[in-house]
Amino acid sequence: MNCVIPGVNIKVFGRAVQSLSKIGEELYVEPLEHGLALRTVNSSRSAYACFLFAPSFFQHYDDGSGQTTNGSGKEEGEEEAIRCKITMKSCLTVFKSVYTLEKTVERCKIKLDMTESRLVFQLHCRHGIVKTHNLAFIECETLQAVFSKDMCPNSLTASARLLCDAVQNFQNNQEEVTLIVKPDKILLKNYVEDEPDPTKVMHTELRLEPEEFDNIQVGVDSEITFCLKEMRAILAFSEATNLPVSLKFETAGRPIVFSIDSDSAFEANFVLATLADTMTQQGGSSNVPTESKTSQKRKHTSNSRTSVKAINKSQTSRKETESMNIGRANETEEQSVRINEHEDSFLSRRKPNNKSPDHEGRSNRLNAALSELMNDDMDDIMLDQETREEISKQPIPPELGTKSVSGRDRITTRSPVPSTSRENISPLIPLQSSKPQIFNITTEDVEMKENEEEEEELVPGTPPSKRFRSMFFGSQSSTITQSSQRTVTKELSVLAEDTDDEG
Amino acid sequence: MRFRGKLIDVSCIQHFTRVLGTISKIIKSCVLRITPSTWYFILSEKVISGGIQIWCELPQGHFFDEYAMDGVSAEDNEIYLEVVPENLIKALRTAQAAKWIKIKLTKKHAPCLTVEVDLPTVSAHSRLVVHDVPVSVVPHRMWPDYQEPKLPKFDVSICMPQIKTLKNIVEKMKNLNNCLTLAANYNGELKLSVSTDMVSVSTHYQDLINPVKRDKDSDENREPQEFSEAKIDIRRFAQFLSGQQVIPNRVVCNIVHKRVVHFYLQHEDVSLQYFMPVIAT
Repeated sequence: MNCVIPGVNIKVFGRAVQSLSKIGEELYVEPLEHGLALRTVNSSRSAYACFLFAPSFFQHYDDGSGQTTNGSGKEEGEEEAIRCKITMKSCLTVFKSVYTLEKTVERCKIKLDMTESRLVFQLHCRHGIVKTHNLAFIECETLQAVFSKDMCPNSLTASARLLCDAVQNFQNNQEEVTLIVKPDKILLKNYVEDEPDPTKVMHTELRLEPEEFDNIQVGVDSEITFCLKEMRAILAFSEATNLPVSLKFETAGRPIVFSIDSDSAFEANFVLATLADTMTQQGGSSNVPTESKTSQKRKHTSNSRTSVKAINKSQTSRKETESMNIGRANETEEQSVRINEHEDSFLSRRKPNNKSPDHEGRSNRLNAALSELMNDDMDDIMLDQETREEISKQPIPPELGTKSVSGRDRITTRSPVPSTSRENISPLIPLQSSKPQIFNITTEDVEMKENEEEEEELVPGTPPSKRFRSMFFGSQSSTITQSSQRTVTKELSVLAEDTDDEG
Repeated sequence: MRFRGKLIDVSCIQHFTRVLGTISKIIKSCVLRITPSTWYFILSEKVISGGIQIWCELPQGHFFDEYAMDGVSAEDNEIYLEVVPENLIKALRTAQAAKWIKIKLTKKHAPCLTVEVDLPTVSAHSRLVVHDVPVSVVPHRMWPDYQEPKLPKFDVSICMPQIKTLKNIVEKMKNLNNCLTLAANYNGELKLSVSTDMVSVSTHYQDLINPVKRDKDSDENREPQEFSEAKIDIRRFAQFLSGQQVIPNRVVCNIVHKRVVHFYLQHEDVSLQYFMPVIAT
């Protein structure tokens, strides 16, 4: 990757980084053919942000495809540019002061230095001063939220000013706001939790006239609650760039997408989970033993339940499940902790149907295990390639294999060939036990390894399944260079439901 | 029980916000007494819980353009509410440019002082923001706890120098010790001193005004230059000084020797009395 941002655009880029920094702690950088993607997800996985800067945004843009990445055996033939993530903090130091950037920087070069393994930001300032930031990165998988903006019945477009003015009326420590939309009125309220005492808390309500919006389309009346902090991050960016924000959403529990689109130069999408109210909770979860417990933790439900069911039932039922689960509407602190605990043991998805019976069996177990971990109230399961590989070496307790489901492999992948090959190996999941990190290699595992190699040869011809790309909030590592280092293994992959085209 | 009031004038809104801001800086929770003529913010702590007493009067006509109230009964035409002034301030924070602000007593999820703010917008639309500030109604039998404190006979009263300079000094002294000795005499002198085992620091002010002349008869055994002093909690004093958002026309400090420190702030029609507990020596 090698690109140059002209001076006039540096401010926008800097603002984008600042806005992302208010959401997540790691910045995923992915050079794509159609632009440079910067993405992040917050620690509780309830918010995802993606900026895509088109080649026209840059003075020079080369996504680096065609370059060989570091030649690890598995990645031969790799045509995709490298994906990496850097810590938000380090990137923020480069773009700390937008004001000085705007005043002094004439252009900014971003390139990947593969020999030094650094992502290099070079600020060419006035008077010939060049500031070079060499940032350490970790190669990683694509971070992709699964959402669709086009299907949403409700859509609002407003100037940043309007939304900023509205949001200002809430307290700085206000965590969540509720947006109530009806054809004739739009209300914003602060969300008051049941605890400690709602009668002791200030309630703020704000009414916006539909005429004030640039565009308004209300398909269903809805009342959705989402985090204010992330919304402020979005508004800060849109206010700085003076671009309107459009909100696309459905009902409670379904994600809301904020998007900012500058005609050709860049687009930004922010996906925020919304709280699901008790009304939208779905029943029929007999095969999900912990559900009732978790659903009462807070009165929010989450889509995860839908996804759990979808997996446990037959494929056809997946039709009902939908495009996106960016994550739990509302992780409680403990839940996010659990996510972290389990991250290492999370497995990615089902495998293609055309697998051998042996694989089928494993996929069943996988699904069972998956549903089990879904019970932990997670639908955004993230894991990294290395983990999966390690996991795949673990013996699976037989009692995990319960229900039979086979689904298409649905992992988001930008580099379908190598990753598909890996998916074939992956579908094993360790017990969700207190010690998830034991890796014994048994004969079974050895066999599996062999299988994986066979399939590896089979799969490369498989065309990339584009339609899945938007289906997952997953990440896929393009290299396995770090597979030996457990320290770098926190790559994530989020699971979501199958689409109907499976059924 | 009914109350509604409306503020229209921008300067009234801003002044009202500043007065409330000052109160919110020095008290967490207090009683708001609403009478047909005046708003009172009252804090009357028991000695055991600190012993601070605050009495703040805001004549309603000074702020409100419309004002209507019905008290609990015709003879007791007053309302006593327990409020958190900070909440009111939060509600008023974005209202500085408002076209109008309505304050009403409402019964929603709980008794509330509802602050309705009509904000200006870029377009011609009005934008109404409603803040419900929870309050609790103080029952009639508790009212006697919130009567205006009786003023004792002070040994000395003196006009304080500028709050801002005083604040800077006290902030520095705060690092030395927890208590400060405030001393004044009828010669227009004020002395702030703090001492530790290692050091003793005092700041003297001269040529200040004594608003009340010495009563020759009762004070015959005291010389004008004799200091009356009292030891107070320095953090509380600093908090009081730094909380001032209105620059009052007049700040008077009254001292009863080793017994009482009383500050009286006056700005236009608004007045605030602050009884600061004295540390026994």
